[in-house]
Amino acid sequence: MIVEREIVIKKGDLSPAEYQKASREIDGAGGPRMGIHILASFSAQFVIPYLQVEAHRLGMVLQATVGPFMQFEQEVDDAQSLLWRENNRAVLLLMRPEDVDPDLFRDSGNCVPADHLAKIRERMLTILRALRAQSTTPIFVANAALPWTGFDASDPESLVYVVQDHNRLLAQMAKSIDDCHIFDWAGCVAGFGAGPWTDARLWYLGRLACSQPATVALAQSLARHLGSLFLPRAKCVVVDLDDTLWGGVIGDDGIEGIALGGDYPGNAFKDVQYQLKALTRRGILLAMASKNYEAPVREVFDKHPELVLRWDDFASRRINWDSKTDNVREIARELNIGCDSLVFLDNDPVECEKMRRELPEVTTVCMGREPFEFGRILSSIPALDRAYLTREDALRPQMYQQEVRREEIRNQAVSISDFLCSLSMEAQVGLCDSTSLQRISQLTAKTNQFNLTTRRHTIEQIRAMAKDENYRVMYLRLRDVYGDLGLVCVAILGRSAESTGDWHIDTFLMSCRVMGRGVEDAFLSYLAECAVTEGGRLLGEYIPSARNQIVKDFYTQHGFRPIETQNGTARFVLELLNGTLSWPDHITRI
Amino acid sequence: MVLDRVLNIIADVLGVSRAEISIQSTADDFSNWDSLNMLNLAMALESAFEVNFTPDEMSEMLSVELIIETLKSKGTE
Repeated sequence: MIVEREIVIKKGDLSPAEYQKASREIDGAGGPRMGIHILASFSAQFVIPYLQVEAHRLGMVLQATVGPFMQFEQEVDDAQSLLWRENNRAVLLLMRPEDVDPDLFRDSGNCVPADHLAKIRERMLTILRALRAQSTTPIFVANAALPWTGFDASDPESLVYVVQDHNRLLAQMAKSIDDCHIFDWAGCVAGFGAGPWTDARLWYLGRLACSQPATVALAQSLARHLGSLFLPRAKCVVVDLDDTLWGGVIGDDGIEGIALGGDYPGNAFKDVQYQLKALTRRGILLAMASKNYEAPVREVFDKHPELVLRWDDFASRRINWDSKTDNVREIARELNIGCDSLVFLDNDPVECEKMRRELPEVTTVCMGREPFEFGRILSSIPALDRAYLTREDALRPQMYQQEVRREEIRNQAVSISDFLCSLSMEAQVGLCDSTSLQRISQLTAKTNQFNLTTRRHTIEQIRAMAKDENYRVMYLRLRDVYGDLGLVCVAILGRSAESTGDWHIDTFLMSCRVMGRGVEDAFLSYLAECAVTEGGRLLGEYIPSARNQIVKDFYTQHGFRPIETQNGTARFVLELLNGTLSWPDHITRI
Repeated sequence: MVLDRVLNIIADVLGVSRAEISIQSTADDFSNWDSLNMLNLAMALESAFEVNFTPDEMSEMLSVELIIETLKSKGTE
């Protein structure tokens, strides 16, 4: 469903006719499609061609359908509805309060807005629960645009006041349902402008919720929300320094001469730094790649009073005169992530062009020449969107800094076992519960390298397996002398259908940031322990993917015997006795 | 010239080939010249000719001739 783009869509703004034409071309091309079904309180068909084109620009090919207008409950009830089509990857519930409860916005005088909105939420909850009861497809539910009356914002009874409450409660409600996310309709309207958002002619003639230009904005936002779930996300932003983080060239202008803070353009550069800092709180790493000598750069970081970003905010730093492409490759290697997980920001179009040519897998963003534009450019990079955050996301930058310190120790330690002992690792193992479910699902969705089978289970499937007697969904959390690494290993064992007592390892994966520490030995030992009580065997499986070469020999290295290889999938077996796979000495079990 | 551009826009919006449309074409000739595409067409024409239609005009432009006439009434040459 994420396919190579055979169809070339013109860059930049398209006219309405061009949208219709491009969308038809995408519809006509072959290949798999990502099914999307929309339930709406207005005529959403108008949005579809725009959504098709904007999704395609991000790398998704949709088969987008719209249910009959206003028939939410009927659609959910109807087994024949396209809502239940098998290739559906997301359902969008776009239910505007003003459509489903027109009295609310007509100010009929005897209406208590808060009560009306509570009823709407109740109705939405019933629909969402019914959806969730029958399918595990991710859901996006739209929140409500703020009414635009201008005067009543201080009155707790007023519509504008209660709609803000409504959105907050709606977000909590969405959180209570697995894989249900808010589509920020309110934010989309605010960003575009509430005035031009609607075209009264189109509303009265055809029940269209937005004007033609607003439809473009809506489609872009919907596409980004979908991309945040279904497209690979960038993990690290590599920034240039001169004329990107500050104005001027440190090597020429010196610490006194660069523009940072104060008047324009210094204030704009400072804001860019705030924005980058905010990314680190969303689990995105920063790295720097700059053609400079290190000393003057270091001086800026040590002494410049207006600097927002600290030296330690960067998980990796390359300050030298080598080519940026080499430096970016090295940053990827050091952080143990693929180049396709990097965003590269530079003000120099030549560097950007070179990066695009030599490392096309990197998302290269040219900041251009106008510092006042940098903030907008930075916030419109879809690969940095996140549908939701986990505790590990917020901790990630810290974890990488700890990793750098670990690396230093590793280089000093006499032997690898001395090094591992010096880490004083503590591991906690257990079975999936409500607090670990989301992180387990996240790791299952995104772990590519240390992943024996690369099976992408949905959060609902994992929840079901966790409750099922025939499965064990297991995890390992790790901490060491430098800090908490969080939940880093996931395994799913399934009772073998053929031979009683045997357990089949459906999933075995580990976050790549703890590779080379023997953590997988500890985790495998825990698996064996769970399985051995029933006197059976462990059945392992290796399904090769483009990225999991490193675990090709994992099972044989741990004493498993190869049984067969079919269509590339290798199967292994291990007889279990107590202590067959022992817990490694250098990790303390807590 | 105006006719040419109008025919191109109709072809793009309805997804039909240029050869299938002429000055004589009306909404009845195309199964998908429906109420939704009537609005798509109006939006495409507004954007191409930089004009604004009233709701009545939008719902009455149901043939190529009527479209041309409406555009002319707004000073499009």
